[in-house]
Amino acid sequence: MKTDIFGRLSRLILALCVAGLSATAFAADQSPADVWATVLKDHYFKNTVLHTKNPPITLKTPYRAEDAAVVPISIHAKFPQTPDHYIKTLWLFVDKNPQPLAGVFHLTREMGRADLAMRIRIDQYTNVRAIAEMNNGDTYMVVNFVKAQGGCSAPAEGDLEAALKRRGKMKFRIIDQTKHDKLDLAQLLISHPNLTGMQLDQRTRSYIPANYVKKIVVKYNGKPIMSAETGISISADPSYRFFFKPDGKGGKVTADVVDSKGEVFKHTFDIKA
Amino acid sequence: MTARRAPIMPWHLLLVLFFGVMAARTSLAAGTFELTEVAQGIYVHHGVNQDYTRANHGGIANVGFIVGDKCVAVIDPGGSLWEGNQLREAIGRTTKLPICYVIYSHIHPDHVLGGRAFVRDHPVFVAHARAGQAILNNQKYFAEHFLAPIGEKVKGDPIVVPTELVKDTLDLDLGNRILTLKAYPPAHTDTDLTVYDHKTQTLWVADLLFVNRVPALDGNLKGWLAVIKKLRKVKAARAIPGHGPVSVAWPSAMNAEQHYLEMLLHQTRELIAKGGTLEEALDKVCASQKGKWLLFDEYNKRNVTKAFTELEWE
Repeated sequence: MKTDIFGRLSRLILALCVAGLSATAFAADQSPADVWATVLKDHYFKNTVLHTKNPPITLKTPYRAEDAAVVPISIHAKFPQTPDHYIKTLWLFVDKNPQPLAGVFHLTREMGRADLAMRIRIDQYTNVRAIAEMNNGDTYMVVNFVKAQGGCSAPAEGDLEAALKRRGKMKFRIIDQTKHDKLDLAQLLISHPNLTGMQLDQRTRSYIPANYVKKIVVKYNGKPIMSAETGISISADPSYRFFFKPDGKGGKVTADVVDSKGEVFKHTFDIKA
Repeated sequence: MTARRAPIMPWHLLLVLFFGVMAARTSLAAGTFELTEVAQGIYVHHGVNQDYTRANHGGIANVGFIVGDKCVAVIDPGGSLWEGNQLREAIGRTTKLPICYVIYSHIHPDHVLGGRAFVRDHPVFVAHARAGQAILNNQKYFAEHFLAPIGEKVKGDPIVVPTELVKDTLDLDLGNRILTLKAYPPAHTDTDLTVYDHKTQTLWVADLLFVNRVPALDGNLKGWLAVIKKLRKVKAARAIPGHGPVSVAWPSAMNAEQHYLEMLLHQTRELIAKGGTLEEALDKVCASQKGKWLLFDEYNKRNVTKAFTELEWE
């Protein structure tokens, strides 16, 4: 039923050069390098108005990132998630990455607040954009420019064999209980090399096939908190920071992760009362 | 009028002479690839403490060679074909002996990209056992991110692939001169080698030691500190760091680097234990070291990112 947004991307990328060329021909004032305006906007949000005034979120990115393979970015909601007013979906795009859509994040009222922090790869100087869809369908966009280079084409650092061996290991920790009343700020860390498919293997002299975390579902006592579909623009060993509302009685947080090879990793973490 | 004019003439002459000499000196400096003989038969060219620019041609690391009775070993052929050629010519001016080895201290652009200049001499290219994968990973990357920006175009692969690999240690004989090469587990990079010259007790420690320029972490932080502890036990009359002066006192020259790396380890670890985030770490860790190192702003945050992502899995 659901179309695989990331599966379609490779074809989209192949079409990019052509699209860039035709865009030059049709709109002289539009830079062919503006992938967003020429391709991505229509591909993902053809019939959606993206408001840029009074957005419900702010996007924090470093102006210059020293390590392009691990760029910390965060999205902050300007209000709490309430039953009749909440952010439903967040999209994150890195315009000039080989796979511009970094992830789609489905948020819930159980989060309490729709903040989300993660680490991404940036391949060249680019706009990074976060798009938030409200529960009533209104959609907003915020854009930041980030100077960083080489985050995707950079070779996998260190020992790939060791990294593959520990893939699927996870850590979940409550890192702050003070920032917002009665909300826990949690971090989910997933060990996974998030291979881009652009890295070479010395022995076979061929490209190591892409293998990245594709789906994440986080639940608290059986209720979904946050789920996501993600791609290769997310750094190796994906890290996510988000809020959730503990009920005071403790319980369990579960994280179900599936990578692009279909391997499933499941972990349960005890939450103290 | 003539009385006034007379003294002006010598002024002109003086100026002409002055600028003439300056021009001659400049061209001499540009034409000569400066070498320092840090110990008998060991020549080092000082790399500037900068990032790659068109002006420095990627000549930003200390590179050089060791001369034996039979032949010459190059230790790090330089950061570009241009620098490799300069180094090769400088060797030719120093000795008529053939070049039998080109050793890569590790696979970083400023240390390996001059290798192509030496292919015509048919030396044996020597590197760490893990260099093969690192080179394959970086062929395109180094060409695009280091050589292209300084205007050096490459046909084919920019890094010459080594044929002699060092897993643990390897002795090379240059004729009455034995060099012992030693390979390390991931530290500065995952392809670090040191070269020890028995004749002069000189330790070519390369980028396992940064002096003045802030250390760059690309391998493993805990691994680097472990290697430093081991290296301290090596008896040497002097060491040749990859960045900084061409020759330094051993092992005291390592104190500042060790202090920085230990601070990086402890402050990052503490912050993670307290629930700190990568963003906080980038702001706080080793902030007190600012002003004590060259290129601090360019590399400290990179080091913190590397340390943080390594240590959060402890």
